[in-house]
Amino acid sequence: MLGARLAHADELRDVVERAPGTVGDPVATLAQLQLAVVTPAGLSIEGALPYEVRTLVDRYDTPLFHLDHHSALTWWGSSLSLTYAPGVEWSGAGVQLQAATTEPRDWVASPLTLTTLDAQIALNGPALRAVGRAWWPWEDPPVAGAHQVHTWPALDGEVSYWLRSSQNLGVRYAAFAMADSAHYDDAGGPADHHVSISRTVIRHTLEELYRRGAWTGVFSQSLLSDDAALARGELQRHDDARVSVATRNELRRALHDVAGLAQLDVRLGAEANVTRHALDIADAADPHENVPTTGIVPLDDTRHRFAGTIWTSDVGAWTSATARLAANIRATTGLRVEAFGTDLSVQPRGKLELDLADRLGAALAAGAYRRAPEHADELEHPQLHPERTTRVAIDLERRVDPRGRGTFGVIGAYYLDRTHLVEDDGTGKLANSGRGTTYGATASAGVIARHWIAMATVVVEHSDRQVTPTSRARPFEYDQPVRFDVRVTHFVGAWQLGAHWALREGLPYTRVAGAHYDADRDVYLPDFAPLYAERFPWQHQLDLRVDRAIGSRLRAYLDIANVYDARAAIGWDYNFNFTVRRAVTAPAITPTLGIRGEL
Amino acid sequence: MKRALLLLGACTTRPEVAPEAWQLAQDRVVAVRVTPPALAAGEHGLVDALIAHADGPTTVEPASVLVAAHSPLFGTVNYLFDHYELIAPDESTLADARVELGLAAGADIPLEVECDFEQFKLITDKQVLLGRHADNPALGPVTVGGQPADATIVVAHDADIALEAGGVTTRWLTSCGELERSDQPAALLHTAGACGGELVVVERDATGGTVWQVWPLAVE
Repeated sequence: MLGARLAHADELRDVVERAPGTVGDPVATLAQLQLAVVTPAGLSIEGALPYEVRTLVDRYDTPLFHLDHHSALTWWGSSLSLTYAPGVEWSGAGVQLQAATTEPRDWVASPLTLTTLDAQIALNGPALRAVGRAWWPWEDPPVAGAHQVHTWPALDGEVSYWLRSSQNLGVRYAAFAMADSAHYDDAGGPADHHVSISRTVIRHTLEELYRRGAWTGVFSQSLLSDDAALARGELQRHDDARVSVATRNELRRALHDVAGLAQLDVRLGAEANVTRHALDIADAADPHENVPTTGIVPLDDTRHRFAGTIWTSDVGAWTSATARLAANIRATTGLRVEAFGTDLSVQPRGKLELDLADRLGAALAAGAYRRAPEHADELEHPQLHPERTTRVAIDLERRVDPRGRGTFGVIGAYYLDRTHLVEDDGTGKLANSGRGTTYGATASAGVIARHWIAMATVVVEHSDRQVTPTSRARPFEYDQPVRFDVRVTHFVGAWQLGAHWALREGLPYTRVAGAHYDADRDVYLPDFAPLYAERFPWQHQLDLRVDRAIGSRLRAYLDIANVYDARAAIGWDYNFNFTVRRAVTAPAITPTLGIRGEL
Repeated sequence: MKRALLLLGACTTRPEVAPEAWQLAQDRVVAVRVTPPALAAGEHGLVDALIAHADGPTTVEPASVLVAAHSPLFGTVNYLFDHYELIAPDESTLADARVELGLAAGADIPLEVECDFEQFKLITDKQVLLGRHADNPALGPVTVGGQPADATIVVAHDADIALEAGGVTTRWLTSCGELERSDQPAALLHTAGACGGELVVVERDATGGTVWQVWPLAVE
């Protein structure tokens, strides 16, 4: 039975790792499976802006996305999950993307992967697991007369190393790194049209795992260095050099037969994070969800100016208890207390899980969440308070049989209420005046058979926001009311064949209703129609992938994203005075060829 | 970093959306001029604009609507018989306005005016300085293909013609051929087939002063 389970686990991992259209990006796979809204700045989930969705590496906040929207994670170097309504040990807005650098396995391997997009070399030994990857430049060749592009490969690295391992204590060092660099010169333009963007992120984490009897202690310390620099023309720059020192510590104890409860798991933890931002900014205003933009910024726009150092400190403590109330009922309740600077918040959370029948379970979760106002120019507004989110969700799940076969499915509904959202009054003044509501339902059904895995998922969601409690509700920037996915994987001998079809309702956008001319600066500035009152057309695309094992040490694949080249509009380009617009379309058909061998 | 991501999207290899800013053959306001651009107490100023047309040569037209609704000195804008004029207030009114606006004694008072021109729904913003007199800048030497610009410019077809102007903030426009670096003093005109039209240069200074020159252009 164990062998069958392991084989099944391998099969499932192969399916997700080789999801058509994702080309080795675990976050892209997760976004597909969870039907997240994919945006230029990351994932939007349950009505949260991408920066509200925390991205954690080894339990610490870490930027994950390259400039071309690919994540810096690899299947070899990390395992990841999307957590809805995370437990009391987590701060944030109710959803988070967690990645953990993969621990070394008990065997030796050094696979090399080459694709038309990237090269990846990996290593696994008894104490060390590491991976390094270089992405090829992501832009098309320059078009004559348009912008000339110089990019260096984006680099990723993940390392996990066991420093010490004994019966009671294990000590592990983990590191995550990514680097981007892109330079643009307008081929037909002067030197002051030069654009350069670079970013280097390195996180070091030391973890200590201690076990003794019923006690478990998980302690860790981490250091993040995040250096981002943007320069455009002769006037605009946006540099943020961030250094963050953090520690997280948690004690767990498993108890039996306490206060009439057969089983009681108790947790107590605390964390502290101190961050230093060295900022040098002369740039256009930072974008905010409630301020419409065309993305076109005049080169002389430097109204956002700041030079200096900002320190932030976040301290949190939590406690929770999980009890089996009956043979088929498990309850978790807990409390998180958090201080963001001088703001103190109390966040109760709980979850009730019921086994209704064989392979059928239900869960009810509710909790309060706080997000510190520490994103972009929020740092320059010390008067801001944390944003508040309250989330309630219910799920009903049917699981596969113990052999890992059969039908499975989930139906669920959720409701999120957001208050104290940070809003921009249009002149760069920020205040906690906003509100938001998100509610939706999700349904997923599938079957795992001997040679087939098939699954279909649909999400129906409504997400709106208000600038102030008395203002009219309008759609959220990434409100995508209908999302539908279907995927099929077929195993035939050494072949694995996969297909994925996605359907998405178009995102909202704000129409440019006209423009006014600033005669002194010689620029046209857009006048906007009501915020997010229009929608882009529906998007749909088919992705296919064929994998073939060649002997025991070689594997090749062909992935074709957007097979029938459906290119719906996903944005607009405008001419200089906004009288003509042209659609920016979804990516064209993209074939990728890859080969992976064992050295 | 969202700003960088948005910027990256704007920096891709997509060509500009036509019509571009250097193209004269479109209905648009090319430049707005206040004469003079800075007014001493009691001084009068006129507002006019260089207008481009899709189907004809450029014209110079006075403002059809002029307001300064957001300024305490909105009374500077006057309609006299058949046209608008700016008339700077007297010294004591200017002194009161400086106090109200939190400006130092003797400082220039910026007056934001909005103007419309006959056939355009477009609102144009223009700044005028009150409290001292200044003139519009004079157009510096202009060369076309290395030669001083004549009253009529004649250039060869299928050629690259270097354009040079002396100003710091310059905008070139043409109705024949294509322009590169049209927002720089040194621009390049690519001519194609034979064509008759115009070449325009506009120069602006830091205080809102504006000057333009229009040449008939023949590509032979």
